[in-house]
Amino acid sequence: MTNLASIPLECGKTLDELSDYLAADRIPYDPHVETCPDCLNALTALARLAELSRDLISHDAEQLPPAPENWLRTILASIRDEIRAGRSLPIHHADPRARITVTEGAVRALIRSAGDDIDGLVIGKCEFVGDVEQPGAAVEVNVGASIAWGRPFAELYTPLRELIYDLLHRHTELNVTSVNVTIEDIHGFDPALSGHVPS
Amino acid sequence: MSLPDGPDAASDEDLTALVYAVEGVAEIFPPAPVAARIPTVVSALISGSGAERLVRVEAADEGGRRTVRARIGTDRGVSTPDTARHVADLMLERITGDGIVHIQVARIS
Repeated sequence: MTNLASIPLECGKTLDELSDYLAADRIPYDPHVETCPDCLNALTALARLAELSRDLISHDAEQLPPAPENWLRTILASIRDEIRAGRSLPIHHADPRARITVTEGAVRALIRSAGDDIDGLVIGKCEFVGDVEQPGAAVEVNVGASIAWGRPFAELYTPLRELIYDLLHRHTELNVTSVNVTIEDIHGFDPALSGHVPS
Repeated sequence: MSLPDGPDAASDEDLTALVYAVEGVAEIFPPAPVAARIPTVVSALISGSGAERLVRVEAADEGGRRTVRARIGTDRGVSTPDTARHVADLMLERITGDGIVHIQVARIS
């Protein structure tokens, strides 16, 4: 792991510790980790990253353009930076005695998890630009992603944007004015395209 | 489920059970950061009681007002705002007057 992974999250745990816990199949049971939303969000992201890393190593050994050297470090940095609870996104309730919020970290983790489920994509950074704590304020969403070697960007771009719009509409009351997706990296090799050599 | 009918009468355990029963609620988290609850965490570790003692809805008097705090995780297959409002409605039914209900969604999975 990198030094970056030793920097504690807001709750005090580090990605190193969470990675070790994951590698031990979450045994022995850690009551902090298992009841901390930030840790659980980080575990989900780390599990996906570990799975992808194993695939990359496996493909690397067989036939490969190597993954960019700093690829893992970049993704880890995004996970660590964005796993914190962050700002509070308000949810309207007719009774003023009810105060409902969704944490920014919960929504970022949701986008990361759902985006990673799209074959060929790994979500990097995810940021909300605008006053998300002010109901109705215009919010721009910027998402960075890594795309699998050989996969056409156009094939993945539209499904990812639509997914993000749908998630934000379903799970927040943000006034999303735009979703901007940037491909920031390329990773691995897609076996489905083994006969194709990207130009 | 059997719960006390009177306002402000429900215990933390009752409220927790009520929240867990709401469609779309996947998890309940400790209302305060775990770092602020070290004695409880240590106690849970020693007793081996695990998460049950840590995760719960909390009702307390704060500044003379009954305040209920719930920190939840929601199921991504169900609308989070609807789920959270449903939880808030149930909690509001169990407090009187100018009591306050705080619902924080900390995870959507």
